Amino acid sequence: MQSKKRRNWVFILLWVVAFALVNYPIGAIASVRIEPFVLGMPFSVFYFWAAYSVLILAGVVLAWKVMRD
Amino acid sequence: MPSWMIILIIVAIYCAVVIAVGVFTRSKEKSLQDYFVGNRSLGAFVAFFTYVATFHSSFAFIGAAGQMYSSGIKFFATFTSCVVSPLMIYIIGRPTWYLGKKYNYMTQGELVGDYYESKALRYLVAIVSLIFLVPYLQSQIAAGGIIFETITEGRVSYLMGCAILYAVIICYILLGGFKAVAWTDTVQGILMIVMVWIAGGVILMRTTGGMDWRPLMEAVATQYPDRVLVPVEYWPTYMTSFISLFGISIYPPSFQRFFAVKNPKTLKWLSVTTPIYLIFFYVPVMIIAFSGVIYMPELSSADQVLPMMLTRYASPVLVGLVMAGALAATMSSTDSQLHSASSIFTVDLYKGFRPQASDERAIIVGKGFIVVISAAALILSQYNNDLITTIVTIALGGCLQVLPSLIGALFWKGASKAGAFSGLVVGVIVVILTQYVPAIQTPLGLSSGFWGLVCNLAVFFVVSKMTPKPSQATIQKFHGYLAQVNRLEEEGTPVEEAIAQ
Repeated sequence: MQSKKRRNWVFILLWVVAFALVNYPIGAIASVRIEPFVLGMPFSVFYFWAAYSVLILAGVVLAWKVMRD
Repeated sequence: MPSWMIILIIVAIYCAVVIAVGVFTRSKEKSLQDYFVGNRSLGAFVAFFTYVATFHSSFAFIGAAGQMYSSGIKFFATFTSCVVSPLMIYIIGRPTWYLGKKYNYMTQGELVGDYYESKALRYLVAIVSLIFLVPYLQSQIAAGGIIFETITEGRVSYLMGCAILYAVIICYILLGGFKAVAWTDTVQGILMIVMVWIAGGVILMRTTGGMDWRPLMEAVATQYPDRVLVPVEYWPTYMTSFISLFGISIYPPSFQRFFAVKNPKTLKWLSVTTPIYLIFFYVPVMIIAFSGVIYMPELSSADQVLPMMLTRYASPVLVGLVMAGALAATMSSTDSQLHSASSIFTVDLYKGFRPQASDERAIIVGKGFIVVISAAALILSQYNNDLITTIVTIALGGCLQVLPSLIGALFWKGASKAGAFSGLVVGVIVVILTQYVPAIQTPLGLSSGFWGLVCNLAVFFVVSKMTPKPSQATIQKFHGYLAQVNRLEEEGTPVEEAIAQ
């Protein structure tokens, strides 16, 4: 039971880290950079699409491993 | 054939298809459970699309493109709410589903009123929901009227456009109830995402000569760098803007879907998969907006960017299909709001005052309410009513004030009727004051809904500490039952089968 709870907290922490990617200060550092272009997008634009994708993925993992039912 | 006629024919076909879907998916049963929550039988596929289609209104097509056109990627702040708000589907939705299934609840007011053993609270929740829900209809009908008027170059008047929109929606809601709403939402949700992606692709191809967006992005980054950057001073707004949209998942039309799904597993997966649709809907919208920045930089109104880019670069058929998509976005939100308002009026108010009324009678009353309230919205949409505009501005924040009473019913045994009642009243008053009194308007740049919720929670907690709780039997009925569900789940027992016995 204890190890399950610890594992749950690890996944919740992962989601929080992913959430931090789209917030200050990490997001703010990325959001003022145009270069380099990645996948044809300015870095700032690419960063947000990538970071929100990671956040969605972290949510899916959370549902899979932590959420009941 | 002139372009406007081609577009109108496509939109007319779309309206006919939507009505047909509503007619064919309607249920033959005549119970309240069926009419208002679809007999709690909504599968994952339909639940997904009815939720996302309700979430995205005409703003997703017209307003979002306009905001990206004028403010660039600052609009991405909205994405945070697209990810965080759906988590409420699980956090609030799961216990709500179990209680709804066990005690046949269909609305927030029913659940809250039953927990706090208070009909007055049930009526208050219903009235607050209706006050903030019904005026929203007026804004949606107005959007529909504008779309019709625009696509026909004024040949279908604004009034006629509004009337057509409502005639179509009323047709399938009256015939089919919740199932018709959910299935038409599904068709509309699919149409919206398909059409917006096609529109983005066509405009990219016509403007750059291919599907590579690099030339477009380079042009924007070189000529309008402010559109691809978020300045540091904007970050407080960026980080907190999702709070103002936090209420969207307990907004009555969304909340009703918690009762309607087949099982809680559906809610769990909805909470983490709907953001995929909600966010990636905006990829083509960004392409269209950035193309507009380069090829139509002088638009007088930013909201014109999507229709103007389409008119210039797409064929009339595509314009018609995309406008049908925009109409779908409007209709999918409007039908859910209308249906939800009807269920609140019927279940919370009518059945509250007349508990002995039969289901058949209550459904007739509910349908009558739909006709009356939509007629009122149709009339109001013809006027630029300041009061309506005022209420719409704070609609989500207003509905969010029901959250503390729900927290009490679902998670906190210490909550009391007086706490829930006073918190709700204070919350609504604070929302109004912090929105409209200049001296205390949206302090620290945070939304009025947020400040209402903070004050609401404080009053709810303090008053609950000092006043009597619901009876032990009721606490056991709610919290005892939810604890039992969680215990079964932890033991690995199939919960649904166990509680059905």
